Amino acid sequence: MTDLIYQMFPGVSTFFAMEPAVAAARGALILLGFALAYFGFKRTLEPLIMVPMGIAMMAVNAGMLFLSSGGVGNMFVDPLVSDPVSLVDIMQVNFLQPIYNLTFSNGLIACLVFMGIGARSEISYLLAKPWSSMIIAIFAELGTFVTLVIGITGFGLTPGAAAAIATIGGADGPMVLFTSLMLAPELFVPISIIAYLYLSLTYGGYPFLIKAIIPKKYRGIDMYVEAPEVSQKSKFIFIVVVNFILCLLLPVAAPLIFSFFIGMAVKEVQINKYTELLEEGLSYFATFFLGVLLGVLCEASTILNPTVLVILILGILALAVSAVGGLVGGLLMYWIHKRRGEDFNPVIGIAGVSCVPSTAKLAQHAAMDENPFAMILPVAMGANISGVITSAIAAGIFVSTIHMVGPF
Amino acid sequence: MEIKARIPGSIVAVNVKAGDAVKARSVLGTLEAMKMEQPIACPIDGTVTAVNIQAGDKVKTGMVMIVVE
Repeated sequence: MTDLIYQMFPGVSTFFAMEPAVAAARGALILLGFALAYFGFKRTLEPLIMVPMGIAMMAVNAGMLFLSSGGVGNMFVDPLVSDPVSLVDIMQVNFLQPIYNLTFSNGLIACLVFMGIGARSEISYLLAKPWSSMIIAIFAELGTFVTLVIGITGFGLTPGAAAAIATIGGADGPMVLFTSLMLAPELFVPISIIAYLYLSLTYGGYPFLIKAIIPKKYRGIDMYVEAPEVSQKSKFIFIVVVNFILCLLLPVAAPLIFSFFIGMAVKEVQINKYTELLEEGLSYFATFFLGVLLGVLCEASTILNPTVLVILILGILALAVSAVGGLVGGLLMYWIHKRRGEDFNPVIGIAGVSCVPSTAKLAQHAAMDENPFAMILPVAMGANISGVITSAIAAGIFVSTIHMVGPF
Repeated sequence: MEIKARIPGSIVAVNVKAGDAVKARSVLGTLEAMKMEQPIACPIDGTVTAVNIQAGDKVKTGMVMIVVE
């Protein structure tokens, strides 16, 4: 009789067939999944990723069964299959396997999200104050480089793993996904999950960092920026040429760079149907499945990896140090502008951390808290877009050069 | 004095009409850009001579929204 019940409800009985530690982790992940979905619903966390991810996490850890091969598994996805024959077999069983193998392992899903980000980015913000934007963006990569060094020297990670985790400091979800797939495929699941989790938390944490680092009297500084009149033609040519140069210099990151710039380019050409497709269609399709797949990859046996703790520590370090770096860059720009008798709001430094457009909006909010009439959003958006470009360059440099750092 | 839009967005509210007397730092209207609302500030004491916007309008950077003399 108990046998019959066992067979009827494998989702329950698999709990008892597993090692206690794995079973406990499975229970914990179900609870975590619920928490992520709920806080996404409440908008405490970013809902676009967290709601599908949380629900998928619960579903995959609940829906476990005994496989014909004897082990315990699910019918969502198996990330570890690489042999072509078994891959064809498994594609006919696991419903998310095609999406996983055809869009995840090669970074396509990250590129689709990036096309959407490109289509949303307005290059003229960058052209209003190009040098300040670029310098702030470089300062805001501080976390990436500090974490790389600490990861290798302090935690004994391989250069590839350390670089993949360090990319979290660039604050771009798709970039982290792309780099970890290239440099540390065995860790890409925990790295991307933790990256997305942290990124959705920065919205809550960064305002405190801004208040801690930038003195109150500077936070409300207003900025009148005369945006230069840039013709559509020069913007288009600029985008096309920069894309060419970056692809030439960083071939390994070329897919990601191309995706970002093609998004910006179609907007400047005003092919509105393409812009809509990238902005409203493809990028939401990609974001949705990104959330779902990250969720189903959070399976107890995949995620029980001692490196997870290291990623948790280094990830938050990367994001915090990048934010501090960006804000210090903002203060530096303030002093430089002040000596020339111009205004510059140092809060813009946070926008160098390239979470488009969240950190630019955080900067504007911080300024408006002190001075409701302050308008720094255009300059902050410029720093934001520079941030994306510098993060892409940093990722490109990592992917192309990290093998020179030492043995993998 | 011309009050120009400083970021592309849409007008949520207009609080003044031509002929109104206004003071510096009073709120003439509200502009929404990137899902954030911001008050449109009056830079000087004076009289509104022209209002070129109404609620729901889309504005571009540099567009003259309101004129105060």
